[in-house]
Amino acid sequence: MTAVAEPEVGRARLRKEDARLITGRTRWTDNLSLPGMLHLAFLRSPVAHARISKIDTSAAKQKPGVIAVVTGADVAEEQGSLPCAWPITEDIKIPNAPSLAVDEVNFAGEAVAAVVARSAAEAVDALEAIDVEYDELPVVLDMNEALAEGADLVHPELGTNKCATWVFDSAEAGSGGAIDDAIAQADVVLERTFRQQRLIPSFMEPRSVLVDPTGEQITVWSATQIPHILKWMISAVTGVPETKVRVIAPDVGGGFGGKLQVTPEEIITFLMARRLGRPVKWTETRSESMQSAHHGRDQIQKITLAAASDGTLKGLKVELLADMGAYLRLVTPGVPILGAFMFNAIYKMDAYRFECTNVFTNKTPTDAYRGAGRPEATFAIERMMDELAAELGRDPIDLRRQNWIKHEEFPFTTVAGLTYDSGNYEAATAKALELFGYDALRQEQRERRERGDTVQLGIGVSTYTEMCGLAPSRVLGALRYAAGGWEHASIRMLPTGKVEVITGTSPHGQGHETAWSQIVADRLGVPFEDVEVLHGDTAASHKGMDSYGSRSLAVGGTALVMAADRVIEKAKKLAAHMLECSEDDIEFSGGKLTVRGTDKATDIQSVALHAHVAHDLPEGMEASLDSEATFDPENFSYPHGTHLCAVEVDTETGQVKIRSYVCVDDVGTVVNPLIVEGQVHGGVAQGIAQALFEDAVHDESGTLTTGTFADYLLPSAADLPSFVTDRTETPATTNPLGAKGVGEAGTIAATPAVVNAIVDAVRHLGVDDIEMPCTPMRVWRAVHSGTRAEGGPGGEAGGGLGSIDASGGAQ
Amino acid sequence: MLLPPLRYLRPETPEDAVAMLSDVDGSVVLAGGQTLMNMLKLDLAHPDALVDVHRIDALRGIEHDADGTLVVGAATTYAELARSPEVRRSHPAVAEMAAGLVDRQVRNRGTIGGNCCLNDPTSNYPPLMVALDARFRVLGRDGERRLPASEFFRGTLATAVGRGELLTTIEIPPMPQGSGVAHEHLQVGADSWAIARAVVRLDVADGVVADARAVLGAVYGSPLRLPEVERRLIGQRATPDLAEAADALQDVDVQTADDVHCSAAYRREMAEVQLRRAIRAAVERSVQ
Ligand SMILES: Cc1cc2nc3c(=O)[nH]c(=O)nc-3n(C[C@H](O)[C@H](O)[C@H](O)COP(=O)(O)OP(=O)(O)OC[C@H]3O[C@@H](n4cnc5c(N)ncnc54)[C@H](O)[C@@H]3O)c2cc1C
Repeated sequence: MTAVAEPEVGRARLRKEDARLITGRTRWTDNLSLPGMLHLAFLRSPVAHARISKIDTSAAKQKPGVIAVVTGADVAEEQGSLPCAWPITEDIKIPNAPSLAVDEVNFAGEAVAAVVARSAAEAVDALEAIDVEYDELPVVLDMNEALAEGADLVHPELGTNKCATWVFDSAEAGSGGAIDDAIAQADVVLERTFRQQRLIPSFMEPRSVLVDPTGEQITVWSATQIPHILKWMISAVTGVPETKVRVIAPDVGGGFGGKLQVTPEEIITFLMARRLGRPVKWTETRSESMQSAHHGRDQIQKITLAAASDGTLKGLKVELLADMGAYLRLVTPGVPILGAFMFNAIYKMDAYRFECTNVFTNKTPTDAYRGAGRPEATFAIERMMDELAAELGRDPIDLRRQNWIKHEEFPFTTVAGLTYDSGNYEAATAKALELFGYDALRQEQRERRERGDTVQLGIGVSTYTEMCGLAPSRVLGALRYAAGGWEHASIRMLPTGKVEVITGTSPHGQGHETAWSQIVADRLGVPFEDVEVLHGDTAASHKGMDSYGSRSLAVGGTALVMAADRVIEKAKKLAAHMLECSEDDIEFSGGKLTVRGTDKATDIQSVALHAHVAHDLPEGMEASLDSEATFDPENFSYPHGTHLCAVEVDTETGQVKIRSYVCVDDVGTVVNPLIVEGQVHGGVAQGIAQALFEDAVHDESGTLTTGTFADYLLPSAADLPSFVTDRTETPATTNPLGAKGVGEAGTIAATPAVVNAIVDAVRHLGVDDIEMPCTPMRVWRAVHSGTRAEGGPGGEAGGGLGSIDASGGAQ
Repeated sequence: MLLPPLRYLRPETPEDAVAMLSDVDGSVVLAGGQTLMNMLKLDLAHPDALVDVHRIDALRGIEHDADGTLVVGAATTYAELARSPEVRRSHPAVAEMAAGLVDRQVRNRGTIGGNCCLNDPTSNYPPLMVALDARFRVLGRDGERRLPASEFFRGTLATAVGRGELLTTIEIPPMPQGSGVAHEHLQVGADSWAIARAVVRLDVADGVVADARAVLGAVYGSPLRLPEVERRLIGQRATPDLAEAADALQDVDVQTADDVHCSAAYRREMAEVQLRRAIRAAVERSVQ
C-alpha cells in the first residue's frame, strides 16, 4: 500500500463517474421520484411583448388531476424579483423580474402561469385550458433601434432601453496611454464591425427541479451548476431563512453556463411545493429549454485597431452593444465585462479603451455561455489581427509574433491592467505550426488560387489567451459582483482508511470525481480507489462557490491541496505520538510516516484509525484528522494556445469543409490528460458550431424561429474533422497545482480560427468578412458579391420546404 | 399536450393493416416514426390511431426478381439497405443514399417506404425513385395497384396512397448495362435538411447516352423531372462537357422556398450547381 506508485497526477485515467453518467442509471433530477409527488408545468407567453389583460384559470382548475393553478398575481407577494448579482455600474437600470409575469410579458417564452397536477401529462394538458388575453405592445428587437431617440421601450418604467454603460480606459486606469492619441499617431487604422450571434447553450440534460417541503429543511434538487449560490438566492428571493433550505445538484448533464442561473422555474416550483406541502417536480421539454432558458453571446462589436506601418500595434478601441434580452438574470450584465480585459489578448500595445452599452430587448435574457465574454473578445482581436496582416501584406503568424508578449517578459502587466503570470506563446505556436504543416498548406493554397480551383483553401489562426480560474474576491468586489470567488474543500479521514473529499465545486460533466481523487491520492498517498468525492449537496458540502469560469481545478483544486496538507500536519503530530518521537522527526511520503533515519514507520490509514478511536491522543489534540480549507486566488489564471484551422471553401456553393484542425493548448500542469483532451474536443466543437452552424433567430414579432434542433443546428461528429490536439505546459505560478483551467479554452479559441480560415480562403475574391454563422448561403453571397455577407432570410423566412421546418408549418 | 390520446394498433399482415386503415377512423400508418412521431409532438398531425407496420415481415426484406428487379419491402430500414451486399451490387445508388442519411438512429428506424410516402420536398428518396423508374405497389381493400413513380408522387407531402391504403413494396428495375447514377446534394450540416438535391441517371452504350433521367429534389411539389435537360443529354457522347445540359434549367420555373438557412433564390442557384455536378458524376460512373 505504501509502495512507491506511479504518481496519479498526470495519469490519463478513465473517468470513474462515466459508467453511471453515460448509461443514465444515476440520480438525474428527473429520475427522482418521491411519495405523493406532484408535477408542475408552465404556460408561456407566445408573444414577445404584451400587457396581460386577462387570465382565466377556472377551466384549467377543473381539468383531471389538477391540484392548483397559479398566475403571477397569485404569487406576487411571495415571488420577489429574480436576482441580478452583478450590477456593473452605480446607475445600472434593473427591471423588476418576477418569476411569473404579473401584468406584462417581455419575451416569448416568459412564464405566465403554472399548473400543478398529479401527473406531468395532466399538468401539461391543463395548460391549454388557461385563457390568457394579451394586448400586444410594440416589440424591441434590434439593439441600435432600441437606443434610438423615441424608441419603443421594453420597460417603460425605466425610461430607456439602455441598461448600463461600462468603460475601461487605459489612460484613466493608468495602465496605458490615451486611445485617441494612439489612433492619431498610427499609420494604419482599421475599423470593423462584427456580430456575435445569439446562441443557445444546448446542454444535454434539460433543466429539472424537484422540491420536497416535508422536512424541516425544504430540499431542492435541481439540475444546476450552482447549488450553493442557489441556496443563498432562494432565501434572498423568497425570504425563507437559508437554514431552512437545502439544495442538491445531483448528477447534472451539462450546463455550459446555461445552468449558472437562478431560474423562475426553481422559484415557482419551490413556492408551490411549500404552499401545497407536497413534493413538486418540474422538468422542461427541449422546446421550453430553447425558448426560455437563458441564451448566450449576442453582441455587436465595433473595433478600431491602430498600428504602425511596420505592424507594431498601437492601440485598440472596442465599442460594444450587448443584448441583455428582457431581464437581468444572475450575471447577465457582467458577461460582456468578463471580456473587457481580454480584447488586447496576448498583445502589447500602448492604449486600450473598452466601452460596452448593455441594451434591453424583448428577447430571452442572455447570460453566461461557455467562455462568457472571452470568446467575443478573442474573436474580435483575432479577426482584427488577420485583417491587419492582410492590410499590411504580412503573414498573420508573423504579425502576431511581432506583437505578442515574449516568454521572457512574464509576469507581464497588460494595457488592460491584468498581470499574466506565465505563458509561452512561442512554444505553443511553434508546435502547432509543425503539427499543422503550415508551409505545405500555404503552398497548396497558392496553387489552388493560381489555377482558379472551384475549391479554395484557407488557413485560420487563433492565438488566444483567457482569464479564468474565477476569481480573486477583491477583484470581483471592485467589479461590483455581489459574491466572492474563493473555493472550499474538506477531507474526511474515515476509520477504515478510506477518504471522503467534499468539494464546493459542482461538476456537471467535467470529471471532478476522477481528477480530485487523483490529486488526493497523490497528496495523501492513498489508493485512487479509496477516495470518494462528494459534491453538490449543501448538507454535505456546506460551503462552495460552484463550477463555472474554468475555476474548479485552479481554485477548488487548490483548496483541496491545502486541506490535504492540513490532514498531513495533523497526522504527523499523531504519528510522532504513536512512534514516540518529536514531530519534527516525522517524514511524510507516499502515505507513509517515518521517523527520520530509522525504519520505524506507520501509515496514514493507521493514523486515521488511531485518531478516530481516540484511545491515546497527544495532549490537546482533537479526535480527528479531518481538515478543511478555503482558497481565494490572488490572480486569475491565463491558459493560452495556438489553434490552426484549414478549410476548403466550395466557391460554387459556399459550403465550408474543415480539412484539418490543430490545437496546442497550454493549460498549465495537467492532472488528467484524458479529461483535458475531452474538454478541448468539446470546446473546439462548440467554437466551430458558432462559426458555422448555430444561430438563435427571431422573426419580426420576436418569436424564436429556430426553436427546435431541426433549425437550430448543432454539429455532429459527421460535421467535424478529427482534431489534432497537443499541449505545452507552462505551470501557473499562482496556485500550487500549476493549473490554469481548460473548460472554456477550446470554445474561446476555435471560433476565430474557423472564420479567419474561411475569409482567408476567399480573400483574393475581394472578401474581408463573413458574418457568423458562415452558412453556405452567406459564404456564397460573399464570394459572388466580393464583399462581406450578412443577414440571411432568417427572421423573414416564411414556411420552409420541409414538413418540420423553420415556421413549424406542415405544408 | 405532450401527445394526444390515440390508439396504437399492430397488425400481423399487410391485409390486416389495410383492414384497420379502412375501418378505424383517423388511422394512419406508422413506419419508422422518424417523421410521424415528431409531427405528433409538434402538434402538426392529429391522427386518432396509429397502425404500426414496421414489424410486418411481409413488408420487410430485399429480394431480386429473375430479371434483376430489386424488390424492397416498404418497411425496410435505411440501415438494412445500406448494409445489403446485393443492393450495393445491383443498385448502388439505393444503398449509398441509405448509408448517407442523417445519423445512425434515424437509419436504424427510418424506412424507404416511409420516406416515399411522406414525399417531403427535402426527402432523399423520391427523386432517386423517379430517376430509377421505380414502381410502387399499393394495397387497398379492393386489391393491389402498381404505380410508376411519376404517378405515385402527387405533390408536396402527397402521394397516390389513399385512405385505407398501404404501400407494400417498391420495385426498382434492373440498371441497364453501362448506366451511371449520381446523387448530389447540399445541406448546412450533416443532420440538417437539404437545400438542393439533384439525381441524374445516364444509360450509356458505346460511349453515347442512350437514355437519361434528370430529377431535382428540394423543390415544392413532387420531385421535378427535367425533360429538357434529359433531351440535351440523350444521344450525346458521355463526356464531362455534358454538364452544360444543366443550362436548360434556366428556362424551368423551379418552385422552392425560403427558410431560416437560405433563400429560395439561393436554392435555385444551388439546384443548378448540384445538377451540373450530378451529370458529371453520372458520366464518370457510367461504364463506357
Ligand atoms: C433528425 C432527422 C433528420 C432527417 N433528415 C432527413 C433527410 O435529410 N432526408 C430524408 O429523406 N429524411 C430525413 N429525415 C426523415 C427520415 O428519413 C424519416 O425516416 C422518413 O422521412 C420517414 O420514414 P419513417 O419510416 O420514419 O416514416 P414515418 O415517420 O413512420 O411515417 C412518415 C409518413 O409516411 C406514412 N407511411 C409510412 N409508411 C407507409 C406505408 N408503408 N404506407 C403508407 N403510408 C406510410 C406515415 O403514415 C406518415 O405519414 C430526418 C429525420 C430526422 C429525425
